[in-house]
Amino acid sequence: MHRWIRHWHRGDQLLIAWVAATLVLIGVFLGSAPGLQGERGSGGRRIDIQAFKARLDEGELSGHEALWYHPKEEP
Amino acid sequence: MAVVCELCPRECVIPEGEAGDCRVRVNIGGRLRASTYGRPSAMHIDPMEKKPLYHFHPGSSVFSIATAGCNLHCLNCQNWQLSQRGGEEMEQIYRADPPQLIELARENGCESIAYTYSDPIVFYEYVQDSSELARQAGLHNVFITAGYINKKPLRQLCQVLDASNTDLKAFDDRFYREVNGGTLKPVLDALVTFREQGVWLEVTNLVIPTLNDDLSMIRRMAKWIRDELGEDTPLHFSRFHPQYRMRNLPPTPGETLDRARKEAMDAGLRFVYVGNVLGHEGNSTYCPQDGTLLIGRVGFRITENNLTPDGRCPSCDRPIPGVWQ
Repeated sequence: MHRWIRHWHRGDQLLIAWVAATLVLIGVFLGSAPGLQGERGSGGRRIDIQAFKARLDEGELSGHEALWYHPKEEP
Repeated sequence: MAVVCELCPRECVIPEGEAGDCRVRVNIGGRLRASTYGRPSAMHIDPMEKKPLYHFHPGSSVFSIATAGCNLHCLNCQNWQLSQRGGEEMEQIYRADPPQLIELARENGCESIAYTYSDPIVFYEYVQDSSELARQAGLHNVFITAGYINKKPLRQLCQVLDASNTDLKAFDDRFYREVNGGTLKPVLDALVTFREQGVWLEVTNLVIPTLNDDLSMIRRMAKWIRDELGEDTPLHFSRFHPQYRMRNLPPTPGETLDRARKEAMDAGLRFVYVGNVLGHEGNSTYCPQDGTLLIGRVGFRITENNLTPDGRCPSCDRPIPGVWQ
């Protein structure tokens, strides 16, 4: 152990960096897992808005205004 | 401007040009649009038993509709082609605004309209307007849901609903988070709200091997239903079949369903059924007082109905809870 610490090589630094990056990636993956999706304010989904508007214009989708919403207050 | 949807417990913050987590409530110009209002992607005529509702107008036909979208993301979803897509992704979209929907239901000889298949919570406005018209036309409104909705919108909707079969997917918050992408508490609240508001309520629990088939959990769930919803609340244990993103598990063994049914009955529930198993004795309704066969079923078909016209056991005259006429 002492020898390893005393003889610190660039390869070791790369290994440490690779392990750290892997842990960060795992953390990001777990953070986006379905288990967290049920939380308040978790929604907001990008859709193909051009396709959406085209089908809205064709009357295949509706522009009926929803109930139960409010504008988000700016901080 | 971004908007905050208040309909379900997610309370999505939706930027302009984007949708909520359900994919179908879309922010256009700072106003939230119910994009599938009057635009169902599924329409079928089903028997009431398919919902399943066993104590509500048995044997009657129900006009069933659904639109794209859902506010849960169950790994075992059986309607994922419908529920896990936005309206703009659907191949098939019908045009059926509420007056046309009522007309279709009547033309096809249906006594009820079922809002079902995906989760009708996400097409709330369509359900509400259609239900008001349906009531005026003498039709019943049936809401088949996972119950992931906020209390205030649900209370308002209950004013026009007649019956609900609500999924209670597990009595475990972790299961909801990992398998459904939701949480348990709002579902329990919804069940209590249906009961408080006088909507006829039946509960379905899909039993998935190794994930929610623990008998102690089933016992806790049955006791909660008995205490909070009443011992006469019908509970349906349904058999799981592998599909969508959960093909790695086998179908639920019959013995597991038998054990779950026994556990729930031992906990004090009086009407416990087994579904998705053809010809199982747990498909039928028995008098809890003397065991008389009241309604015999094979699959979704009624083989005999021995209830008196006012919904009593023909042998002991015990009233059987339900909406029979």
